[in-house]
Formats: sequence, C-alpha cells, structure tokens
Amino acid sequence: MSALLEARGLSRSYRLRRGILGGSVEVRAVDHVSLTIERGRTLGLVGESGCGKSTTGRLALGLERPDSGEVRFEGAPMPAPNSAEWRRSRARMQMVFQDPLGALDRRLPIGAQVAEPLEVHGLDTTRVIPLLESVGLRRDHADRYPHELSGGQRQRAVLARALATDPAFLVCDEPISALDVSIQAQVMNLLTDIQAERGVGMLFISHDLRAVRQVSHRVAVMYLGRIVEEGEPDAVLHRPAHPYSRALVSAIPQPRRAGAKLAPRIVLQGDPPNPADRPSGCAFHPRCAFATDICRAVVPELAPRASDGRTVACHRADDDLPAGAWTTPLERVA
Amino acid sequence: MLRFTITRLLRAAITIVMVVTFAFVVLRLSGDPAQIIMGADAPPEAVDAFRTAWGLDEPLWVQYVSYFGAIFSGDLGRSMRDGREAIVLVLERIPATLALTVPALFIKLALGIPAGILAALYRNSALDRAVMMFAVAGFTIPSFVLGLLLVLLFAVQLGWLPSGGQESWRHAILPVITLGIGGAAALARFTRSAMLEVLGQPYIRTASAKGVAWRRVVANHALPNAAIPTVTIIGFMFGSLIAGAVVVESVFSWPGVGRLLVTAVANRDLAVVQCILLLVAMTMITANLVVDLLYGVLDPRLRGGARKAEA
Amino acid sequence: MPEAPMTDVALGAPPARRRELPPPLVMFGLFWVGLMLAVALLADVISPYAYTALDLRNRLAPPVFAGGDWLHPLGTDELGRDVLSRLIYSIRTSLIIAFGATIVGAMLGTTLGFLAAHFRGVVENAVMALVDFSASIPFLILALAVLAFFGNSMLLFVLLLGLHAWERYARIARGLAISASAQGYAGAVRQLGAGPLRVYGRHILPNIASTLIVSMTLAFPEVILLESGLSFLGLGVQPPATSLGNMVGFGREYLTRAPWILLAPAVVIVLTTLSVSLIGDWLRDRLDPTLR
Repeated sequence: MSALLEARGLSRSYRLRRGILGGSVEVRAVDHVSLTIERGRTLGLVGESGCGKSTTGRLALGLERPDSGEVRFEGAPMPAPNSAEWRRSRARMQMVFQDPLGALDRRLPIGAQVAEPLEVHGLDTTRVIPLLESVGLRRDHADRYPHELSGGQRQRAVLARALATDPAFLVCDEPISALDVSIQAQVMNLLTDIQAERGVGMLFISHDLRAVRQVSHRVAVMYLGRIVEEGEPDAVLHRPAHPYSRALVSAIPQPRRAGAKLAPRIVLQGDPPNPADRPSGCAFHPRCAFATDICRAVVPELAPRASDGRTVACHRADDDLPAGAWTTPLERVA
Repeated sequence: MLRFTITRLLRAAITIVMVVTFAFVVLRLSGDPAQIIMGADAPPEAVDAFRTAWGLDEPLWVQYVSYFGAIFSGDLGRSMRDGREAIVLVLERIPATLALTVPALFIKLALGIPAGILAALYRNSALDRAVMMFAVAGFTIPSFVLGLLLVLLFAVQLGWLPSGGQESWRHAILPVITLGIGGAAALARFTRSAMLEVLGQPYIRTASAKGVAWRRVVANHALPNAAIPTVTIIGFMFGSLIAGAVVVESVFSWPGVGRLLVTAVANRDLAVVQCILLLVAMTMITANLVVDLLYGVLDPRLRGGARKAEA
Repeated sequence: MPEAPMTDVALGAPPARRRELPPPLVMFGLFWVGLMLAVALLADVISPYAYTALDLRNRLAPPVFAGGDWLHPLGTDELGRDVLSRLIYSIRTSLIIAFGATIVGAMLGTTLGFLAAHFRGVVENAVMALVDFSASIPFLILALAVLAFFGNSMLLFVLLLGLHAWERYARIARGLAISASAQGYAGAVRQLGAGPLRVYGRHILPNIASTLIVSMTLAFPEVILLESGLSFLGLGVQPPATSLGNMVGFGREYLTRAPWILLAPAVVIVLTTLSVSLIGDWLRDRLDPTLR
C-alpha cells in the first residue's frame, strides 16, 4: 500500500522584482524537497520564517504547481490547480491556517461557513452541529460571527470546516502561532485527538520545535528551501545531527533544574538567510562554525549518515563536532 | 531612473495607441469614413480619391495601419461645414481658449493652494470651515450654473460687465472667474487633505518634538511632502488647458475649442470632433507623463531607491 | 470529543453601535434626497399640469414670490408651460439617468475588476490599460465624441454616463479581491474546492459591498453634474423630454426676462449634488475610513 502523500524533488521559484529600477531576481523558495506522509501519521516541518516551509505546504496540498518534481496523493498525480478535478480532490485534503480570523468570512455565521465545504461537494449539510461539537464548540456557536469568537474558538471553527468533508490529509500551517500560549496546548491536543479518531495524515508546519515534537511522528528541518535533517522527533530534538538543528534545539528555553549546569546557548552568527541571495554550497555555511572548504563549494545531499543511519544533509555529519566550537568568529575576535 | 522613465514612456505610448484605436473603431462603426471625413456634400470623385488615398478599399488591418500613418502625419480630414482642414480649424481656436484657461489656472493655483495649506495648518478653525464650505460649493455648483449666476448679477443686474462675446479683455473676466473658482475649490480641498495627511506623519511629530521651530517643520518637511500628491491634480489641470472650458465657453459664447467641439458634435462634424479628441488626449497623456516623471524626481521612493530617513 | 472545559472565553459581542443621529447637515441631505425620490416616484400624481401643456395666455408668468399667482406657483416659460410641472418631471428624468448610470458603472467596473483579479496576466494588463485610457481623456470630451459619432438616444446616454467612474470600481474590486484571495477568506474558500462563482458572489462581493456603495454615493453627484452639463449643452436629454440641465439650457435664453425658469432647476441641481455628497462623505467616514 502506497503512502498517503508522496512528494518527490519539489522545486518552486518566484520572480521577485527589486524596486522599479532593478531587474527581477529569481528566488528559489523550495529546492528539491521530498516528503512522505503516511496515513494517520504526522510529519512536522520546522524552520525559521522564509525558509520555504509554507510554500512546501502549498505544494503538497496542490494549491500551487511545483516548477519541477511531483506530488502523488493516494498514488495518483495531483491535478492542476483550479481544474474541476482539483476542486473535487479538495474534499480529501484540507488546510488549517495560521490566522483563523483572516481565513473566515467575517460576514457569515460560523455554521454557514462550516457547511460550505459540504455544499460545495454535495454532501449532507446536517452534519454541521456534530462537527462543531467534535472540535469542542457548542451548538449555539453556529449562529455566531467570527468576531464574536475568541482566537481559539475561531481556530476550532476553521478546523471543523477543514474536517467537514472527512479529509484524509490535513496541512496545518502554523496553526497555533497566532494563539495565546494558554490556548495553544488545547488546540494541539485537539489535533492529536482528531488524528487518533479519524486517522488523518498531517503535515504540521511550525517554527516551534517543541510544538512540532508534540504532534509529529517524524520531523523534517528546513533551511533556505532545502530539508537539512529528517528523523524521529526524539532523535532530532535530543541528538540533532545537523548544525542548524543543533542551533534550533539550543534555542528552546530549558527549565533549569537545581544544580544542573546550563547548556550553552548557541547564538547563530552571520547574516540571516536571504532566499534571494543563496550562499554557494551548503546554504548554512556562512553561519556554521564547522564549515570547511567543501561546505562552501558543494551542496550536501540529504542521505543517511554512516555512523547511525540518521538522515542529514551535512558534509561533516560523521565528524565529531565539539559543542564549544560554537563560540564563533565574533566572540573569538572579542 | 532610466527604467522608470522607459516604463512610463511605454505606458504613455500604449495609451496613445488605444486612443487612436478608439477613434478608428468608433469612426468605423458609425458609417462610411470617407463620406464622414469628407462631408456629405463632397463630390463623389473627391470621396473616391480620398478612399484610394486612405486605402479604404484595402483590408481592415491595412486601413488601421494607414490610419495611424495619416494621423501622425497630421492629416485629420476636413470639416464638413466649410471644407477646411480640421486641424487648422482647431488650431485657430486654441489661442482663444488659452486666453481663458491660462489666467484661470493662475487663479486656481494662487487661491487654491494657499487656502488648502492654511486650512490644514489651522484645522477646525473658522478659516478651515470657510475653506471647506468654499470647496464643497465649488464641487456642487456646476460651472454653467455659476457662470449664469455671475452673468445675472454682474451683467444683468449691475451692468458692470458684458455677458458674452470676445470683443475686449473685459469679456474674459466672468468666464475666467467661473473657471478659476471651481478649480480653486477642488485644489483647496485636495491640498488640504494632502497637507493633513503629511502633518499626521510620525516624522513631523518627531521634528516638532525635537524642538524644531514649527515654521521650519512646515517649510522644510510638511510642504515638500504635501506637494507630491498635489502635483497630480495640477498636472491634470495643465492637461485640461485645451479641453477644460467646454461648458464655460458655451455659457459665455466664447469662440474657443470647447465651443467648436459642441457645435461640431451638434452638427456631427466628425473630422473636427476626432481632431479635438486626439489633440486633447495627446495633451492629457503628455501632462500625465510629465507628472509621473516629476513624481520620480520629487519622490525618490518611487524610483526604487532606498527610503531616505526623514527628519 | 471529550475535552477540557474551554478556558478561552469569547471576546463577547462587539459593543452595540450607538444609535446616534447623523449631523444636521447630513440629516438635511437625507431629507432632501428623500424628497427628491418621492417627487420622482409621484411625479404623475403631484404634477399640477402635464409638462408639455401650453398656456399661451400666461407666457413667462412670474412665480408667486415674484408677484405671480397660484395658478403657476413657479411661473411659466416662454411657451406658457408650468415650471413646477416641468421641474417635477425633470427631477424624475435626471434621477433615473443618474441611478441607471451609476449602477451600470458599478456593475461594469466591479466585473472587470474581478476578471482582472481572477485571471491576472493578460486580462489584468488589458483592464489596467483600459483604466489608463479612460484616465487619459476628460470624460466630458469622451462623452461628446461618442455622442457625435453615434447620435443620441436615452439608452445610449445612460450607458455612456455609466462609463463614468467605472475605473474606480474596477480598481477597488481588483485590489480587494486580490488581497482576499492571497491569504484571506477567499483563498480559504477556494481551497475548499469552491468555484469562482461562489468565491466572488457569496464571499468577496458581500465583503466589499460597503466600499462599493460608498464609492457609488460619491460618484452619483458627479453623474448628475455630467448629465445636466451635457443636457445644458443641448447634447444630452433631447426635447420634448426634459431634464434639469436641459431646463437650465433652455431657460438661459430668458435669463434677463424670466430668470426663474433657470433658477428653479439650478437650485435643485445644487441641493441634490450637495445632499448626496454630504451623505457620501458621512457614509465613507462611518463605513470605510480607508477610502479616501
């Protein structure tokens, strides 16, 4: 049985105009990204903003066509966006957005909006109330307007709408980053519960490694359009293989136990990544303490490393990299 | 700047092509162009000669190309009323129109801009309210009503000024005032809102909070920035120097381009109408182009350069 | 699904809008527009005479307040036609034309704007080139040219005036539709699998309706002025039909002897455009402060 969704070698570039004077620059948002999402499982995609993770989500969902590469959903190729076939296929795959207020029509009551996918796909619209209840909203929320709900309730409504057609695949693009911290956990729990109940495959996109770990069965780390590491959440979080993953992990605030030594925080040096001006070789090398000549010249492939089979795209993946080396150029000068 | 200039020139060129195409299509839709351009009384051999000369027996796209050729060589047909060349007829009228619109433009600028600036600087004062009332009145009272009211007052009741005609400079006073007041009102309203917008910007508040004298804040920061949007409407006023007096010229029987247009429309003298249409469009497009380029000079942001820190 | 009780409490309904009366000038505007609508609707009932009826014994009779009698409250014109009756019918004609033209313009502009937003690329460039084109010629000149080429009929006249301001609606509709599709609700609905008709008709149009309505209110007085200007020049509404501008145009001949023929319609034009612009400005400030 094939995977729920398979993406092979996806690339997507945008032309970005530099003002009125300059010519346009090609920005490679996503570069040779391959993903596999299994039924009932969640793949977490993590990276800083601008690294191409949202574009990857849109490509996986077929909202955009990749310049090269292919997405297969349940074994069949993704139809062209906005074709009739594409529209029909939407019943099987859905999206949860970062900004629930923006994703809802402020002029329609919640019930009408949750009923909309059912109307579009010719399904039974009496399912609205049970749907609302299944995401923890009350029956009377159906008559409310989006601005009358709280942020968490709105995200529940968006989720109810996404689940209305009983999709097999859900892309959650930063679903909790616009919510209060106290509500984030509730929505995360809701997502895991829904998955357990309905067996939905998910692509969970976030810049927050902890959130990703909590819901994901596998994690992929993205940097400037490429996946640099993939693996089990615990492995990636506790023994990150790629220098960039290490930096991400070290940025997570740790509760400090009495007497424990505080792990050194890795502060990334160098210019923040600019997709329009991609460094040669490994895109991370200008910020990497372990970069060597080969890193500046050759793009590392994502492959299992020799020592323990972890999937990572780094020339120095098999070297023993000391933690102290992260006191990088600036600090050494000082 | 070069790329900016080229884009604007290209857009202007496209618009000119569209205007000429519009004239071509409309002329084609409304009947036999040879007969229309030459006039109904033209001898048949002249019409035939015209047809061959303009290639009206050729396929449509050839005609379209040669229509462009004719227009850019200044061959705009003849008036069906007196058989004279349309372009000559129109050019003859231009000085009379300019005699109204140029002084009126000065009134608009001299009255409208200071009024708008003062209203903005003394917001919600009696002066501001007076300017706003003037501006609203200027918009809601159509020029033909204003003109006729002025005639009723100054010509009919008081007998100070002539009500129409073009015999002396005194005849120009009422039409110039009519044109000037309406435009001044629009300009005052526009300048006021441009100025208010600029005065609300953080850099103005920063400058005055830093202790820069208010006069200097206004002179060095507010005025130059408020000038940028105001240039657009002034450019439009320049563009309408030829066409902006259609109604007023009719009210005061002033023999300018506008009145020529109205009579030509009433008589369906299409060569003349087409000639004025093209001339006005060219003037407007040129004025818009100059405004766009001036914008580039005044507002460096539009050239795509880095945004310069203000204040 | 069993879930911890929700701690996120609804923000509560927005504070109920205080029902306060609009400012006095706007009240006057509403009253005046209401009066004009009533006059236009009831023209046949309230008009004392037919607007073409001649009273040759009472030619150029002055109105009551200038020594006339109640037979013709606003006086008569050079043919002895009752000015009040003509005024009533002129209001009807001018309002019908202005309403028709404003609606035509809004529909045309919105449709083109949506098409530009939906198809982007060539369609969008074509629409934007048309916008440039209509900005390049003063509308009065364009209208005069069309009237010269095609002659005049009521239908053509309304359609022609409908072209006025279409580009404003097109710009608004295009801009808002693009931003709604890029991240907002429209993009979300599209990815539910909804077709363009549902996306534009059920979602985008109701969301931008208030902006469009404000634009229509701001364009309406301009259409009235254009109609009366063209009719004043004798190139708009043709006799025996009568409109406000056309009354001023014909009354001009008798400016010295019978200024009332011209003053009555002139006052109505000014008050109506004033009222609608006051309402428009007020609506804009209330409904859509972003529109300037």
